[in-house]
Amino acid sequence: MAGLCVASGALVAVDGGTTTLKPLRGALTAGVFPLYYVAESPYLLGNRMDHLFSTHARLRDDVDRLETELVELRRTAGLYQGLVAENDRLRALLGSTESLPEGVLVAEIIAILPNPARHEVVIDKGLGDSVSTGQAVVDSGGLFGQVVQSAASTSRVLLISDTTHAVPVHVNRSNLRSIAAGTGAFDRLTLESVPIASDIVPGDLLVSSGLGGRFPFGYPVGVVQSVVRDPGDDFARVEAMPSAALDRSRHVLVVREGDA
Amino acid sequence: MNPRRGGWLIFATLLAAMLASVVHLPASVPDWIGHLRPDWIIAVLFYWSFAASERTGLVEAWLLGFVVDVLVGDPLGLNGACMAGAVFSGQVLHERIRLYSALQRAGVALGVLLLAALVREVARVLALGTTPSFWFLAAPGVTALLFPLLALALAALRRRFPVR
Repeated sequence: MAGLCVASGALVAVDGGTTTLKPLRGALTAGVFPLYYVAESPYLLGNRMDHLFSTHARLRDDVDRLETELVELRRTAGLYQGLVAENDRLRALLGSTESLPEGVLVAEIIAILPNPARHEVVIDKGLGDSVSTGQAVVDSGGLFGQVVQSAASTSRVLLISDTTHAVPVHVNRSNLRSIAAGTGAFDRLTLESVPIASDIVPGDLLVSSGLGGRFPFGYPVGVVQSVVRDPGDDFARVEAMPSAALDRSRHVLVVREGDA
Repeated sequence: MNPRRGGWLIFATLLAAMLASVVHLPASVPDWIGHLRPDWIIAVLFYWSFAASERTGLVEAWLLGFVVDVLVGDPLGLNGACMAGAVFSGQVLHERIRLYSALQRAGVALGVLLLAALVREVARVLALGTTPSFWFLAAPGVTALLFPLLALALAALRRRFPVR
């Protein structure tokens, strides 16, 4: 018993501090992922049933809604293409490098880690789909999290709301830089080290700044909800609401920089 | 000499316990309910370790812990230690526990579960950097409350499919 405990302690220390055990973890994950599917089957089945038994009228409504959305998105995409071209020209004039093209991969969330103190989900894409550790994950609203571990056909994604997670951001309006840290609540991020006199107000959009190289530039991260300036404090207390639907999204996009 | 049989039942109940540990609740359920999720794996393992102590092994439990680690995203080795600890206490105390009433058994289970939860919380804080909170005390309580029911269910299964 004592031997097993010592072995466990050593393993935990090694696994917590280094990446030596990653191959073992990867192999085990590949072995257990059918369990995730079984555990998730009520929800997956529920979705299937929903599709099977939807009425004609509802499907038509859905199609109508999606078509209007598509038209709007096409228009925005057209504008965006123009802006990208213009931006690249301006960057070329300034002599800076062109931003790398980004490719995305659609993934479905197949499990949510059961511990409420940790915000992690498992997606159905892994090393086989060239998803690897460190890639950013976004949903239709904004930045969702990052891949922290990938196995053969699944990956674990740490959400931006996890207490151990932080993402470099800047305020879209004033370019103020900060770091948005997770709080353990799906609907709240806090901004760290915002000087008390900085230009930030509720309603400001926070965008990933790309500093640190982990997250791509320009994805919406959250909207500032409250700014508390206590004259006795050096820093303002700023809280933001994540743009991504962290506890509701089923489909997410894995961003792969450099392959369009 | 009876042939050894029924080992599959222990494995099947543990598998069911693992599934029950990863099934997530619908998003509409408030977040804190998740903290009350019973620790099925330790509870089932502890039951078998005193009810069929000769059919449970420390090393097997420890190795199975790796699967649980991967499943719930803990550092490797952590659940192995907790599970081997549960089996160890069950095996050492099995003669005594078999004579206990349901309430006394739940009491012993509470101790084992609390110890496992404490070890896990400390290891998570140290190795993963999660924020410590006292919520980890909730699950052992809930599990101990449910333990008499769980023991009844497992005993019924055992009568149906004997484990030797």
